[in-house]
Amino acid sequence: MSITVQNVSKSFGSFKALDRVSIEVPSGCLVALLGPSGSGKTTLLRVIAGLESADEGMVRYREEEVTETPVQHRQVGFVFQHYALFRHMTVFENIAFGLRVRRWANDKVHQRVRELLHLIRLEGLDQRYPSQLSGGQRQRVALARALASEPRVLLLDEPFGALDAKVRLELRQWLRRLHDQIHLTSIFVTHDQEDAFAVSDKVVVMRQGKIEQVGAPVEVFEHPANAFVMDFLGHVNVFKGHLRDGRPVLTGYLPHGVANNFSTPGVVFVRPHELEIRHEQPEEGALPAKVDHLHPSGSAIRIHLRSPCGESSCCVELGVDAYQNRPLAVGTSVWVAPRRGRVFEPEYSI
Amino acid sequence: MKPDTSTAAQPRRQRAAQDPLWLRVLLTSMALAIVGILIFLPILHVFVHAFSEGPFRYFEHLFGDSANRDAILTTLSVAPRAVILNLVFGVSAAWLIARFRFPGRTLLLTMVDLPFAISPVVVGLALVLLYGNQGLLGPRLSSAGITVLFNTPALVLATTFVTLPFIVRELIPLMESVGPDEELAALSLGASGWQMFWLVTLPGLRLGLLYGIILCSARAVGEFGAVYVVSGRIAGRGQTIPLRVEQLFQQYQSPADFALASILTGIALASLFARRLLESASGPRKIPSATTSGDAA
Repeated sequence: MSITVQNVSKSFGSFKALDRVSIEVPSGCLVALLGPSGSGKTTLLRVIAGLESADEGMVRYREEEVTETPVQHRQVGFVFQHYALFRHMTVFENIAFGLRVRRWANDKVHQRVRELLHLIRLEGLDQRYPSQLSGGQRQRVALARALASEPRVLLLDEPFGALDAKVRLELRQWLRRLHDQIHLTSIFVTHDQEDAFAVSDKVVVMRQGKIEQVGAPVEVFEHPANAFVMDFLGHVNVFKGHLRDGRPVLTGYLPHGVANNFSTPGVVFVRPHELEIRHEQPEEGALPAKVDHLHPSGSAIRIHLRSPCGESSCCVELGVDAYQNRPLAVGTSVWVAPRRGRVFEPEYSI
Repeated sequence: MKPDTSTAAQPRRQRAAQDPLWLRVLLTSMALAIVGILIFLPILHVFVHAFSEGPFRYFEHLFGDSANRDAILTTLSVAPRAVILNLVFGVSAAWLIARFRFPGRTLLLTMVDLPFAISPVVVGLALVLLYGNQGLLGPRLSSAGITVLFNTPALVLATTFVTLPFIVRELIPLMESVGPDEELAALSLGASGWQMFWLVTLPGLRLGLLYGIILCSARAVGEFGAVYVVSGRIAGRGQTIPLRVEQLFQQYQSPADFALASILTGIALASLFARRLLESASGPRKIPSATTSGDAA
């Protein structure tokens, strides 16, 4: 079931949560709505679900317009951020709820709930109450409940938000495998680019009620449309500088705080792994720096550096092997040189 | 030297965390003395006096006298009706206040608390003015054959007014802490508004409702001021237990008086114990949302 959103706007009082948003979700696709808090991603999800009504614009499921259809009749599966399991019902009754209100026969309800308990690997816990489950288990029950009556689309609001890191990783992989099994058109909201990249086919980056970029995870990460997307999708260093023949030339540091102002002209964006550390001064476009802190992170080492006068900092990511060839000590004076960098047209707000 | 410093540190830390012994003893005995003299002693006295002529006479006082019997029956018919009215009002008002933002919401929230603040006598007077022969509604209702004043309806109205906040006040914070997500989840799963209410909203409020009903009943049974003004004050007709207690007191019928009073006291004590029991059965009263999002913490 494909989903089309056309020119949807939604305001809460004077706050514009969605500003003429249009997206297209192909059938069977798993899409992530990614953005900082207040970017309108949850509002968009709730408008698609019918939990919130659009002020303007339209929502369609395949060819059917559902803009005015109440949530009960949209046949969506919605997973709430804090799961919203019915506290006074067992796991079994939670999953069966959607079937019972649709007046399924009792034996069919039992059969379907067993199927789902198997799918979420919680057989044997069907008589527990939500308060007796762990966060990851609750999340899976919420998912099973949403899937029980075979919805046309699956919508998830921050599905990994309230979980600790390890459970989060497991659940991410599990959700991706589940989607590959059942091919249900799904949209989930997240503020974490790792979640979005790990699970989705397509990422929609949002800011201030507008869509900044849509694309496959690799595409969006490699070719960010603007400075905001670049900054939001992972750590980035911002320097004064420009491009010469496609190569970045750094001319100075930016003081703290300027980096978040995306409309500053004359800045170069460089990812930590695109920076190099040199021990001698290279020809041009490099900046002197002092090693401040070493931070191992998996297969890489993050090296935090400080500008000579100490008012700015930057971060370099080196492979562990490359680092071990030439270890660094805190306080060493080095040069940082970019291998690659990006320059964006400054944004003008009208 | 090391073990010495650690053992020396231990008592000092204890002292830092606790107040000195004399202060603790003083405060505890003061609290006990106040509770004993102000609350326990008078209540004990009610029961001692009620049974002063033996249990046989006690029951004779209660059920032998037709006016006393009538008072018990009147209370048994007035209090449940007031509680039911409050239940309907409480659930709908709490839902309205907790789930919706509308003009006049703050006013409604304030008005709900009014019965706590206002003197019950004023409530009674207001009802007399409204339903009396010169009142706004009185003549119309009496021409339709309905007598409100000095009759059971007036007792129910007065009691309902005075006990209005108990159930609403119990439900609003509960509904606000649970939030609307469970209800929205029910809707998204295809439930109708009606199904949502009966299957999700109401069961989710079970405990709060029970608390509210217990407190509301206790207060409804014991209400005196407002009921006093609107009742006929005729022995054996439309007199609730508290009114009869006061009348017997005026007539110096002390043992019968205390026998009836002991019923009121008993109901009050029973409702407090019931509340306690509910609390221990459901564990400490926690914010319900903590159980749905516990792992976030």
